Amino acid sequence: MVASTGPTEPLSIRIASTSGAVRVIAEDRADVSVQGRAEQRHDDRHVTVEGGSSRLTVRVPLGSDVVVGAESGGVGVVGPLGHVSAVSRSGRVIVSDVTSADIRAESGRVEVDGCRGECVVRGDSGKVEITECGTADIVTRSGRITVSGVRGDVRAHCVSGRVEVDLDEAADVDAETVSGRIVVRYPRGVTPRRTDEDDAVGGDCVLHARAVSGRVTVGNR
Amino acid sequence: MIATDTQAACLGAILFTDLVGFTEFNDAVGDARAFEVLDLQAALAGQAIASVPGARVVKELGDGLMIWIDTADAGLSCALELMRSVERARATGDLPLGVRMGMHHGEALPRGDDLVGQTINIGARVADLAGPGELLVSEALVANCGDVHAATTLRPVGPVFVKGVQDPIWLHRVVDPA
Repeated sequence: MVASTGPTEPLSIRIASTSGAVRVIAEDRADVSVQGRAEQRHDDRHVTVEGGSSRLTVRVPLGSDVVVGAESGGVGVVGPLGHVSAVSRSGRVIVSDVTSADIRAESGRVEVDGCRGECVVRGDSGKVEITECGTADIVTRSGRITVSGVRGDVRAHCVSGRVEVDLDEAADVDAETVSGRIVVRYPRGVTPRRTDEDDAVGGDCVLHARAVSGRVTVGNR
Repeated sequence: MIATDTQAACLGAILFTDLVGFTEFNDAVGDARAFEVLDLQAALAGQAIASVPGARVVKELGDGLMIWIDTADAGLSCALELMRSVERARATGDLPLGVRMGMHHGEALPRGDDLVGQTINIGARVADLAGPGELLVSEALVANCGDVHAATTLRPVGPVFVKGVQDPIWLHRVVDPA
């Protein structure tokens, strides 16, 4: 099924699928193309696609903002796109080449590769892996958090999983876990000011690392 | 047996709160400190709804609260106030855990002091997706808010599905204008 939306500018697109996996692909095109069984609605520059159990592949104009969710299927998004919000209850969520992202996955794994601005992830038991982003704001329950290639501030909180942050430059880090382990690595020559040390002064950036019963390890590469 | 009066369905906003990581925190620090945290959450919620007509804590749910407010506008105001007071308590170190919140608007059936129905189920599902310090709201809640919250910024989150509800529930994250 193909729907032409006319204009060549980025669109605002909402996609929902009950159990089928969803794949969103940005292309140099003016319309929205949907492969798979789904209903479409158009309202000015907004397009809504709602599917059932069918696997959906949705091709959208470059730079569009996309809000997508699948109850049990996985979600894959390939940019370049604007803001992307993605939700999956049990499937994996993989997002690449977006301006900013808000991703919620309950048991599935989350992978983000290339988020130019703010990257928000809320997970539960699945692993979260971020490579290349502006800022990172990640919270999981037991899923391990791995962040690398981040250019701005990082907030990484989990309850029982491990938190591992690998910074390319000096940036503030707020890492918390109740019973997991926290590992923060800075580039050579960067020294953070640790808020858990009574005599903390100076520093190139601020590190707030708190583990109720776990270990905190801070070092340089 | 608890009497159910289907004529007395009420329209309003349901707010769920949940202390993130409470079970693990309880394991780590023991019951006494964990109970203090539960009491603090309840106290903060009590303060947030104290001056709002038609607002009440329906019940405690383990480490969370279920709160009913008669209108969407008042409900969102309560939730924002609670979010701010939680953040203040987090900043001072009084509250060691984050609180996540979810809201929906619709009809619910009273059952004794409790409330039941799909509106309640949806509200709980909305809260499931929130992270600590976050308030997520359904589109139905937003649609029933007036100009009072015109300055509130909403960020799209995505659709969720609830058993027995055919259409997806579209969610937003509330960015506190304060």
